[in-house]
Amino acid sequence: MHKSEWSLISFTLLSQMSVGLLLGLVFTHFVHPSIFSQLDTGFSYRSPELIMLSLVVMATLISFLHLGNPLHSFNALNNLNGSWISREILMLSVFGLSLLILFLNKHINLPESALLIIGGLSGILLIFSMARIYMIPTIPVWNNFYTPFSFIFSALIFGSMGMLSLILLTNPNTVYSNYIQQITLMGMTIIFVNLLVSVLHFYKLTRLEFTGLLQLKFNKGNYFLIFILRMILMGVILAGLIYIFQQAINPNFIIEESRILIIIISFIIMIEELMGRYLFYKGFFRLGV
Amino acid sequence: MKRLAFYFDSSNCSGCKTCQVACKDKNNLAAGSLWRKVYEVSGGEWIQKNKAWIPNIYAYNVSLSCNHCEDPICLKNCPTNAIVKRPDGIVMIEQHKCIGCKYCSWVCPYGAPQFDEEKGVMGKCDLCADYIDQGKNPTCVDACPTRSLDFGDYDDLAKKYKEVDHIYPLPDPEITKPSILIKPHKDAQMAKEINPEVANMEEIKHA
Repeated sequence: MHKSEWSLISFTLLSQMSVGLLLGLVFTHFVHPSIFSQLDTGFSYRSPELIMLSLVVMATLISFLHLGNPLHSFNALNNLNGSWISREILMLSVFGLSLLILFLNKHINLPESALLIIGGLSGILLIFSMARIYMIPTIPVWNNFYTPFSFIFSALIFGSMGMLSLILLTNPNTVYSNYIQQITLMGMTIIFVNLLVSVLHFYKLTRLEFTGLLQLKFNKGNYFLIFILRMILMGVILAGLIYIFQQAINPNFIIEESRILIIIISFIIMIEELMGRYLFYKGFFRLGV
Repeated sequence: MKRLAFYFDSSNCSGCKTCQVACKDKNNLAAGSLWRKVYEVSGGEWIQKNKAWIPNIYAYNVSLSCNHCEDPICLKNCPTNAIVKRPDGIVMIEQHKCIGCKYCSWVCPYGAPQFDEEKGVMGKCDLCADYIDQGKNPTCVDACPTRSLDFGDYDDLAKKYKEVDHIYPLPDPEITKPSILIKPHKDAQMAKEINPEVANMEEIKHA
């Protein structure tokens, strides 16, 4: 893999992490406002606004590493009519701006619900534009349902685990049994569906007709090995989430009891998502020459 | 609107790569970068006839650069509008706008746009637009010792040569409607049927 693809892997994962966390916050704000009000704000390492903003700033800075000539980057919005890259950059700017306003909101006092909705919508549009960039008719591996699916599911799994981690950081000894059940149920569903769809997608890849000069053999070598490892990790994550879900059924459950398990699962999710995105770029081949 | 195009006679090409070298020289390309590439296609197998094994093999060359497509997928997808089409149909990269995101090289099914490591921007065949503006031929056309390359308006070339726009290993021309006409080598038909491969991938894959 070319070194510039590592910057794309980092950019897509970090920005999806930020969008996922915001979607988690939107859910918490509207469904569990009492939990939302307990979360930190401002310059605190536990403040979700600061974490999301940092992630999106990091993603943006890393994205410049992919460019051969970052000094020309002011031209990147020139083709909003036809290019999904231009649209992605626009949506990234809107999303970043909404996070900045959200972060500064205690000084500005704009309606928080509206800001969260705008941020969430721009985040979803960012992921959609990001996925559309790769849905190119000349690249059959990417030009299918799996691209938007995997991008949005990455955001959602990061969002679920992000919210669990935030609760762990903020109020580990408070009883949030119902909330944790809902979050883990969402995580379990995402991982389970992702596992099934990934296997289906892999099966389709192995049956792709030979259409390019440098076509990869998907059912052999490192690609296959990493795919299998990723599926095993997904199974481990699913088992871990099921365990936390079962624990959380107890009405007196406090998240502190599952601290180590949540840290381990979060770490495995990072590795699994990194593998998934690596495979995504590794699978690249183009029709023709 | 004019549509300048290349004509390539695969049945006549010896695979000497003078076109490739002339292009590289004219455009002062760095090592590893080729705006015109010659693909050496070969394949076939041994077949048994009675008690004898007979070679049923083939080989031909395809010289290919940017095809200045009628519907250029690179132009449509460039975020900076750095890829433009002149009124005569030449598709060019305005390097002062290019951010070097390499997206055009991902999408082009002919592998035409290539990254210039030194400048940090993309580059590709511009049909020697400067020569054309002076009334000269593209350098590859003039350099070809077997006169296997020609250029001109697509409709004029189509009347003159009445050839096809698709042989192995080129992609389906419907994707971008390339401005190229090819006279196929007699063995190109076999490539459709018997395990074709490009024999010089090592030479051209990084280019």
